[in-house]
Amino acid sequence: MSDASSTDPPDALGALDALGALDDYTSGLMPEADAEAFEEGLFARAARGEAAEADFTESLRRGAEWINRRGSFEVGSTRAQVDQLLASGARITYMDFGDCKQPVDIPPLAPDLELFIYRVGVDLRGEDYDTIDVVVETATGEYIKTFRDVRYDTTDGAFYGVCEAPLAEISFRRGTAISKVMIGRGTERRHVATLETRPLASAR
Amino acid sequence: MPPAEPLEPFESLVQLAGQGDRAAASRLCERFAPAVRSFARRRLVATEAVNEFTQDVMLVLVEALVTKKLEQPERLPGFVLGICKNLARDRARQRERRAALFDEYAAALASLTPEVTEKPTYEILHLEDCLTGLSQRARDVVRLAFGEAKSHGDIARELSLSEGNVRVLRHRSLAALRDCMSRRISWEAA
Repeated sequence: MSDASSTDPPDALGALDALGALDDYTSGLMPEADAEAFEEGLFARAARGEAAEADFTESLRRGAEWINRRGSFEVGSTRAQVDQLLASGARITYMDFGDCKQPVDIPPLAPDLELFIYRVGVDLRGEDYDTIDVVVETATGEYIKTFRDVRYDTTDGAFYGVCEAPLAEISFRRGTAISKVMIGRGTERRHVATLETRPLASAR
Repeated sequence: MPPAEPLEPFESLVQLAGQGDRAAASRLCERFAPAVRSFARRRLVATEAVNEFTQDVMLVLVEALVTKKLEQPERLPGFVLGICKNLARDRARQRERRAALFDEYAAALASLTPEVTEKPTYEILHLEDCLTGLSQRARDVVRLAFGEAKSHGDIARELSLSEGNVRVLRHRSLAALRDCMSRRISWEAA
């Protein structure tokens, strides 16, 4: 399994940039001898409003803490996790998208919805793979994004997606989406299923 | 993204704050907050402790600004760093003084209090969208390092990696997330 991000710039591991240096500083990897000069530079740039790496890192921490409280650092949930959410009293819409053989029409989401949960009934049990990615495109083939290292439920082989309702709403505004399930083994990738989702006009 | 407006020189804000402009003092606090938090994170683990340290630094800073203790505004960056170092040296003695300063200057720090929200902000949705483009191992590193404030050694142990590998993964993940978050949410991109 590759650890690299699909969006890694090629020189991400080259010269230590401001973001990497700040990370070494805050994580304690930077020796004290270097930290003093680093602090002076950091505070001088902060005074001029030029410490963008510190702004970004703090914003990332706030977001990561929030997401961690919700427990959603994995892409894909288990049936047991979904059942727990459904029983939690949160405002949830749950949809079974079926087995990918028919396009799925998605009705508008309720304005006060918290989570949109869906099941994709592919059965990936028994497949030989290192990675499972889902590549999403528009109906005209324009690339939107890739969900990397997607997890499926080992009891029924299906994908369960849990999405914050506002993010689901944003995604549905893009219109019809074609999601291709790709299984990777070594350098080979195999396309095993395609799901077409067609959001209907939103009321939100 | 709209181009950012040019920032007011910090020297002008120091002068305004010295004339009683609490909003100017507040803007200076906002400007330094990420650097002060970074200073604190090198020395403290818990987010609450980092928040409290940051607030303590800002209370001392605001008092110094409004009472014109800082005679040379161009020395502000070193002055704020000095406050950080002093407070880090003697946290216990500061607790009493903190209560008194808080009563007087808490209003100037209102914008620094992190909002605890149950609803995800646009920023959080954007981060969630960007995280799905990382490998699971990279997401684990981000969760442990930034969501749980785990140390380098703890992350290495938890993920059965060397500390060197964790460092590389952190840097790569940070670079990827910064790149992703400098654009729009993937679904919105034209």
